[in-house]
Amino acid sequence: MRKFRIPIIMYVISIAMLLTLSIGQTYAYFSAIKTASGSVGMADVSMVWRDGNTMSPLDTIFDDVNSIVVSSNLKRSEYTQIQGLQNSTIQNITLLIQSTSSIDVYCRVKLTATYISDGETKDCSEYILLAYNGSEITSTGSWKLEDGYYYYKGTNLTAISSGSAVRLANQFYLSPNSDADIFGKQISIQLTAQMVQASNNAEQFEWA
Amino acid sequence: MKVKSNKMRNILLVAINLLLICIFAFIGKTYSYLTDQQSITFIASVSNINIVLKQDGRILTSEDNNIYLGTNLIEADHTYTLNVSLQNNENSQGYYIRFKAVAVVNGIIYNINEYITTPFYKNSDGWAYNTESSTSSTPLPLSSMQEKILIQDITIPNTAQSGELSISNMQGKNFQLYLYVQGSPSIDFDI
Repeated sequence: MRKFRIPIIMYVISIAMLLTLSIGQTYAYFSAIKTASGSVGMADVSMVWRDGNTMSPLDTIFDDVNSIVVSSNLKRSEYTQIQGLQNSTIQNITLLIQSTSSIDVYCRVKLTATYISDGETKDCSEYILLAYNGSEITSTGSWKLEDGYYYYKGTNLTAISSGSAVRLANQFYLSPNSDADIFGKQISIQLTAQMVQASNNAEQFEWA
Repeated sequence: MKVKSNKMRNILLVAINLLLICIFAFIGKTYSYLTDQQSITFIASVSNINIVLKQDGRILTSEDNNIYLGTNLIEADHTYTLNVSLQNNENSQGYYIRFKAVAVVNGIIYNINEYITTPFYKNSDGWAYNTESSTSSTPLPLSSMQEKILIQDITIPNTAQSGELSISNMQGKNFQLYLYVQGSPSIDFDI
């Protein structure tokens, strides 16, 4: 009996293989594949701070744009020219923000000013205002100050196109209402520019 | 049976967590608008009020700020010349000025503005203000680099009203005279 088992198994396997090939052929329809490809890039939003007098990026004029030393003292009720002091170089600065985005954007700027008194850091943002040639920047209609932010063109935000630059300020103004505690103190003024895509109501979510 | 129930519960919790993660990931993607933010920081100093006090033209420095009366022992109803002046030493800004002269006897502070001769207007708040004249209350800034006399002389009266400094309550005692001067770019001396 055992003699016959091996041929029977071989026979079954052969039949199975033939059936498999047959099925394979049955489903081998005529077909062809062609691939079409397209490159899609994601838009980006980016910016650079520039000096409007030289159009140079601030980080190429100053070693450290995180701490530009202003060379002249701020005086109450006076417009003080922004003069940066770095490596013994004094330069009048007109602050520009250039959009290097690939799409239209909205822009706003936050000013934060602090000083140290009796070992405690105090906020004096409300006393420091941005000005251009003897006028506060809000008076020209280009910027609107709201909730601590300067919005470019106010509540009716105006989109800035790719590559365009907007002028911010060339002076600091120390408010006449400023607290006498800041006299003789060193203050740190931080300007933070923010941009957001000017489409799909993105600003309503991002800046809400 | 209980083991199986715990197993089922754990599987259910894992499934719910995965679902929540998927929902949050979806929300995150939906609101991921394109933005950018760049900051710069300026380090600036705020100027101080730049005024100097003088006596007979001698600048009273922080090292030697004594005002000389010409004697260590003063007498009643005698006028002592002080000739103390103030100069606005700021070359581009005018300051409103006010001052207060006080005497400290046995730790008690007496305002003695009434006992001094000054071109400043003596206000009811205890300060003497730089005004258009000594009889006018209209404030007037002291222009840049301008010098003006603060106190010409001082006379301690023999008698005084209750609570005020007089010879009777300072006789034989040592006392200090202090002069407080404030300058401000605006008329509100919010100090």
